[in-house]
This record gives sequence, C-alpha cells and structure tokens, in this order.
Amino acid sequence: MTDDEELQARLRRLAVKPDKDERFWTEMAAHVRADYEASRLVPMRRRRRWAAPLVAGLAMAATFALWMRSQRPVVPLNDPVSDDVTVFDEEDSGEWIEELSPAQLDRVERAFKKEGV
Amino acid sequence: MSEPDQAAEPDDQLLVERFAGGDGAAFDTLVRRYQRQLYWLALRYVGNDADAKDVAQRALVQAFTRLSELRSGQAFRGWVYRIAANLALNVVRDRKPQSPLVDDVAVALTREPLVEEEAQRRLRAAVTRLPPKQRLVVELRVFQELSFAAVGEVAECSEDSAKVNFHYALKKLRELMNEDES
Repeated sequence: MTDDEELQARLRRLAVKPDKDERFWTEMAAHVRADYEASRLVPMRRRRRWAAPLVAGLAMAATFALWMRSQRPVVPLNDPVSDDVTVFDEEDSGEWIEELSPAQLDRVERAFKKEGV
Repeated sequence: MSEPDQAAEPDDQLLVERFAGGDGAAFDTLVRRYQRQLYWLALRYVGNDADAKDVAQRALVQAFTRLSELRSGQAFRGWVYRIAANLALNVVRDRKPQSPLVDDVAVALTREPLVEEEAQRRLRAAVTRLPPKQRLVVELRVFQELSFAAVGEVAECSEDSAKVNFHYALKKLRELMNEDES
C-alpha cells in the first residue's frame, strides 16, 4: 500500500451504495413510523402491567385493615348507659382508669353524674 | 456531499422542534432525510441487506423515542448516526461465527477486475478490524463523504481530533493489510 491518497482512493471504491428503488425507501419509512407508534404504546402497557399488582396489593391491604378494625373491641356509642357502676376495689385504681378508652371514660363520667355522685 | 440540502428544506433543529410539537410531517421528513445514509452505513458494518435495513429502521425509531435525551435538534444527525453505528456493531458482535453471511457488499464488489479484487477484499477486511472510533471516522469521512467538522459532530470529538483519528485509521489500515499479506 502506498500513500494516503491511494489508500483513500481504494477506500472510496469500497463505498458501495446499492441502488434501491423508491418503493424500498417508502416501505422503510412506513416501517419506521409503525415501529415508532408501537414503541409509544409500550410504556402504557408497562404502566398497565404495574397497575394490576398495585391495585391488588392495595385491595388486600384495605381488606386486612378492615378485618383488623372489626376485631378490635369497640364500645357502641349508641348503647344506653348502664346503671351499673363498676366499683374499683383496688386501693389505687389510677392505672385501671388510664387504660379506659375516652368513650368508656365518658360513660363512667355520665354514670357518676346520673348517680349524683 | 450526501449531506442534506439545508437550503431547500427546514434544518434538523426546526424539524425536531416541529416533531416535538406533534407535527407528523416533520417526522417523515427527518426519516426521509437520513434513511439512505443510515442504511448504507449499516450495510458496510453488517454486510447484508436484511440486517442493514433492520439497523437503519431501529436507529431511526430509537432516535425519535429517546429524543428527550438530545441536547439540541441540531445534533440530530450525529445522534442518529451514532445510534446506527452502535446498533450495527452490536449486530456484528452478536452474530454467530458459523452463521452463513450473505455479503451484499462483497457481491457488489465482485464487479472489480480480478487483479484488484483481492486487494480490495483485504482492504475491506482491514476496515472491519479497525478500532470502533477509527472505523466510524473512516466510514463517515470516506463513505458518507462528511466534512471533518461533521465527522467530529457525529463521533463526539473536535474537528482536529477527527482529522487525527482519520490519520491513525489510515496508518492502522496499512498495518492490518501488511499483516494480512505476510
């Protein structure tokens, strides 16, 4: 191989640009557009793929939360206040009172008022 | 020069902006502007029509789907050329060595006189063995007939660096051909 000029001349002869008819390029352009349009739909499908497990997970979590709530003893607020008053025998009943819920404390307070204590 | 006629049609930046604004015609114009060059570039890398067409199509699709990564519409040409070159290199790397290759470029080259045919075959083989960046510079400068400034734009280097890379590529080609000869 001789100088740069000759080498470049040889390289240029390798520059094959096969002649394609217009139909070839039109078809290629159509494929590019179709592939591009299809690629734009992929993220939507991906979002949908994520959405199903996410919704299912949220539904399960909500069901579990509702079940836990149903298991918790709740004082029915509409029940008539009982006339029975619990008498704490313990000398120091403070810690028992502290464990009562606000609703229970409210009922105790109303019961005491009713008794005129 | 195979560079697009910027005077007759809107430049890449304007077309990219129009495309981003939802203009489908801008998309078609850009595809039409670059599909040939990309196909020919890919063909020299992969050596057959089917793979070259696939690479050119995928390069264009990727260029549009990842357009938000492009810093400027003016860089579109370099962007899409780089994508095509990388895709073509991947195709060549992933190709199974034993798979038969219908080499459309070699078929076209058999029109050469027999005396020259062997030298040209060796030169073509040497081009495929160039380091990726040097090969890209040769492809763009010799086969795509781009200016060194445009080559630098595609290869993400300065014009001077493109010239230096081209010089080293020619030197390397000579070495590879000498190795092949001996």
